[in-house]
Amino acid sequence: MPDIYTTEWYDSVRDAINAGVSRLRSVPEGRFVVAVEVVGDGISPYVATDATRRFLMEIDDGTCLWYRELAAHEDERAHHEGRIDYRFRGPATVFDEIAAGLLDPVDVALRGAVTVKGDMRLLLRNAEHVASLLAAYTSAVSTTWPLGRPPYASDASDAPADASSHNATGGAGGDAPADHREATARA
Amino acid sequence: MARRLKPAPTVELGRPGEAAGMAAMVAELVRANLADSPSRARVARRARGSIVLLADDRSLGVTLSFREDCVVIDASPAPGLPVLAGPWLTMATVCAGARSPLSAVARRELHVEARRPLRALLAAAYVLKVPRVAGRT
Repeated sequence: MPDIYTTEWYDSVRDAINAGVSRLRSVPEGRFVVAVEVVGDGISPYVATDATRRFLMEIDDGTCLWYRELAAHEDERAHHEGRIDYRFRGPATVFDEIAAGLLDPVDVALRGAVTVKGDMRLLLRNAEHVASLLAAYTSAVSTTWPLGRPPYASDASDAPADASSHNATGGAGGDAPADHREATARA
Repeated sequence: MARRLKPAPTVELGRPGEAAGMAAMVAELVRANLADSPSRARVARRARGSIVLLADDRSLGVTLSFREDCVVIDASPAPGLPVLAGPWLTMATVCAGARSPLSAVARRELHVEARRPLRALLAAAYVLKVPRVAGRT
């Protein structure tokens, strides 16, 4: 099982996306580049406060060609010369909780916790495909959490009571080192 | 002499609410449709009234209001208005023009709750539907 936000994890997400797409009745034609911006919020231990982790993925006829993280000051254009078709941006804790299966990504987008920029018409037209991409991200990859698994101590009260059943990696916060749990509680 | 086209109504986000993301998506959709389709802009300019779009599987809804020279999207459902309701996935594909709203209603995948004449609802259905020429398929 890959650690969150590692190359192995990105590869697993890509494979899960492509496995999900193969089961769809139809997929959008064309090539799209998607940027994901995970903003440090002082709670998630995986993104420093005020820092942003950035990911790019390219989808071609519904299939994820590649999925990778950018270095801190790396230009997106180093990987892709054209425009970014979609940009998702939100707090790290929200993305972590989506990856842990604690939050429904569609709900998160509809409630505005993660903002979406891009051609809404195309996004809505391909809502089934988008749902499949998000399902892969949420539930198709067994993820390990070396710095502690969400829900984090400071937002544990917001988590659903049966949170641990959604994830293959164990109970809520169960694999968090004690000192880390303390740190997130202080945050 | 050629007739001067009136500008398309503006699209604005109104009251904040639980469905902030849904409101932003619907606003972006309507904005793009009005920019691309003079007939949709004309309908939006003439229409008056409000409707609720409800994603009933998410318990989230927005209110779309036709006002003078603008369309306003509130991020919560206002009470007492006509409602177009259904699962988000169906609502999304209907809004984006990938499916006909009439067939979705006929198949009971979407349903309409309204006691009054449905003029605002019909205007909204047209304004939300992506014009054929726009976007990629």
